[in-house]
Amino acid sequence: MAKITGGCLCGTVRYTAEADPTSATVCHCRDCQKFTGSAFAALVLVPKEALAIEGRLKTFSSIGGSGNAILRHFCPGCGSSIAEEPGTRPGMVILNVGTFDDPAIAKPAREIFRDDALPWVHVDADIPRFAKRPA
Amino acid sequence: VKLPLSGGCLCGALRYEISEAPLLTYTCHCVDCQHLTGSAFSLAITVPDCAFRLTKGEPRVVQRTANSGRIVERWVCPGCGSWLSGGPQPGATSDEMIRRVRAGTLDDASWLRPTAHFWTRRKQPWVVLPDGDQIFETQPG
Repeated sequence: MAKITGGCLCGTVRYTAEADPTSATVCHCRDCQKFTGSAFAALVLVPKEALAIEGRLKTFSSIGGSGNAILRHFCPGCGSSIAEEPGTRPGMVILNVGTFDDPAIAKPAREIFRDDALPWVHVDADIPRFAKRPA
Repeated sequence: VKLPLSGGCLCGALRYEISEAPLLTYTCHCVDCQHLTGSAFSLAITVPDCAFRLTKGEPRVVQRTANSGRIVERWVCPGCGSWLSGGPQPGATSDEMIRRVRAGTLDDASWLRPTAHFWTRRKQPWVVLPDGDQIFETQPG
């Protein structure tokens, strides 16, 4: 476990977490592409009790690929994509690693929704790749 | 590529159309782009501003002073936080104005292929850039 600090682009939202950043998930699903505006989301799972957030987040709720609700939290001031709460993982929060103060501490350990990946995107690691979500 | 291109935010409150093919497709690995996307880089297409039309919704306009000292405008969905595009640049005349649209918000981004990569000095080590592309360690001149 490592102590992770991070926050949004405008500085309104700050957080600290205890989590393993070397087990990150790269998610290529279309919803993650739209939410980030980028090619994929890079995510680290944190138990809810190991996460402390300062500042107000805004939340958008939708139905994820599993058919369960997923809450997506972002900064209402600058729109930074900060965290998700998937209905499939009660008690867990997913942090978007680009909002870490030092995103370089994150290392991908799996790619999911590879079926939706943009064809030129290449993650340099010998890690499991899943066409959709892992079973 | 089939025109117009269409896209929008995750919740569907903002929708846009683009009537011309992109001038450039690029990734930007700067720290601001990592923070705002929450991802490893941002992915953008540039289009003439006059070819971009917001067809639904009102974006939140977020202003920020970039490292260069310029004021950068970003259009963000107030409902779901998706970052849709930049704003029109101040000072440019309407026919030379370029808009940067966040390509992940296109309804179909699968055909896009970036050819340039900015701020690779800040790139995450596990992101591999395609061979032969234009690499800029910081901002292109």
